[in-house]
Amino acid sequence: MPSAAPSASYLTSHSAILAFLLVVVGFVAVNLVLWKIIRPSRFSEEKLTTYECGENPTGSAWIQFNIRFYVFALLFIIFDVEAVFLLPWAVVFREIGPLAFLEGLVFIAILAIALAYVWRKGDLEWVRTEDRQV
Amino acid sequence: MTPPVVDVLPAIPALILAVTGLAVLLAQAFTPRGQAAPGAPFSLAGLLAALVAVYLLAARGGGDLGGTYVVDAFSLYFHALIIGVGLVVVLLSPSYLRATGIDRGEYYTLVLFSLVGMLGLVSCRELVSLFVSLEVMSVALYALAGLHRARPESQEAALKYFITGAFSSGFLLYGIALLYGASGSTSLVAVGAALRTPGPATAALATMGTGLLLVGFGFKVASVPFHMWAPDVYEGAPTTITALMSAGVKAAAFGALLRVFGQALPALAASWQPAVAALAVVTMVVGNLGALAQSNLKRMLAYSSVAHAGYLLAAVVAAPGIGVEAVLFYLVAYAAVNLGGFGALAALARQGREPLSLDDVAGLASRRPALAAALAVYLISLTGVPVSAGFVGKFFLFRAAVNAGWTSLAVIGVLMSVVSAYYYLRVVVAMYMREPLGEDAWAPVPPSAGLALGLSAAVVLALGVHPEPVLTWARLAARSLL
Repeated sequence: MPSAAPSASYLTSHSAILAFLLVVVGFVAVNLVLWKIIRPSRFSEEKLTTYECGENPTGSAWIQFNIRFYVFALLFIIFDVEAVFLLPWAVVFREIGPLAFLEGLVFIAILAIALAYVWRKGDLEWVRTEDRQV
Repeated sequence: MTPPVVDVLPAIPALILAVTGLAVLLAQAFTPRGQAAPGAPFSLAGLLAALVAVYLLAARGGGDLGGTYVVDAFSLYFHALIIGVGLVVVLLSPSYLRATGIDRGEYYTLVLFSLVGMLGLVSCRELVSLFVSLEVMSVALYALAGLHRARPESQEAALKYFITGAFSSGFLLYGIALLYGASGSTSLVAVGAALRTPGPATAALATMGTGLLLVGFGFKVASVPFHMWAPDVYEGAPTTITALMSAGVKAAAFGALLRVFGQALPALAASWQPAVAALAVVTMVVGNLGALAQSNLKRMLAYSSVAHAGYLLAAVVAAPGIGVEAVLFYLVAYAAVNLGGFGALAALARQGREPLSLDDVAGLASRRPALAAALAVYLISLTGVPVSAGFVGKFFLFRAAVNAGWTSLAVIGVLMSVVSAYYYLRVVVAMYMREPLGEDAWAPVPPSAGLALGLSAAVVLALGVHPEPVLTWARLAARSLL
């Protein structure tokens, strides 16, 4: 973390980002315009259809999904976030030592509690147990 | 790199609440279907343990967790207030949840998690952890607002609260980013030091950042023109959660506002004071006039909560300085009164219904004399009649504004308090001077809710008659901020 007092140099040091931004936007813009001029444009019905990995597209994408997909997506986030936090933790693990181990353990324990909750509520199964009983 | 030495003791109260929340969650999951999970007793035990921890911390003189999470007299004051709010809400909850059919263990988990966020909000001396605390508090409340899943109003409340909340978080975060850009640090103390000698570019950045922070906090404390969500959310959310929002969230948000503006932005006071003063005026006027037009008691109390944000902002103008202790004192008085007001409605809930109109409370004094008396005490305190906490609190708020040279704010505040007497006392009149209508539709007051309401009324009267101890404490807390 910078401890020096901020000044004009603090702001100018970020000018590289501005330059980078201009180069990026310029590169894309130039290419798009250039190819628009050079390339032949021969449209056909086939070319205008939605690309589905070579399959013929059928029906609309606006269909009703099973609500269970939503719950599973939420569950996925639990482990997604776990991975996001555990990677940097693993990188500095050696330097911090036993304390890092303890803190990682606490973090994983909290996520394990969330998993236990979800499991007991029957949300890990595609067909929920309470639905089956009915 | 040496391992950081972290003193976790200051975070113990928050940790106790977090662990209790997890325990309640597990207890709920492992309770056989059809049985009630022991959410309320667990939560009460956790809250009492946290209160003891706060007391021990105070005896130890507070502490500091790596410079980001600081427990000084200021946060200890808010710790006690927020945990007290939590205790009252948990006492009010079991009977209300049963009466409205939303008796689930997750309720208590979410309440405890939101309390953890509030504790963080008043303790963080670093802008990013402050933001994380704000989200911890808010996310739990979004879910709680929508707990009445079958009621459209509750769904509306959850959605509105979530969208406006996320929107305001965006403002706050952008403000934090600009302050970081202006000062090169997210620590409040470092920001404050950097802004004392700003260059022209950083001054502009910091002023914009301050404005965005003000908008973000304006949403959270429900000040006009950022109040549009408040009436709908307060009406649609379960009543006990409305009590938690109006007492706890408002206190925590004002705590964070005072800390950020008092520690990081005193150098910019000349530019934010007029803005806060303008917010205070429109909030007092629109809040009170809006409350006049309401026939629904929950909406009326919601607008009244907006109006009270205005009174509090009038004293924030006088911060950093004499305004802080006035705000701290009034937050206690205001929390007790709002917990009582919403709690009284919740205590009467039966079979999914609760009293919401003047007709519903007509003649309540003859059927529930104790509850009607308590509700009358709260309403009189909200009006600001002497011998109630509201009078003493408003006196200090307006005195702070006058002493800081903002006499017009105090004049508007007093005038608007007179206006507010109409809609508060209308309820008292309905309870005492009208005949009850029809059969008695309401539940007998449950013992735990009765205890909670009695406690709130006792606090209101005690603060009105003998404000000295709390005032001394508030003064001490305010001094630790400077």
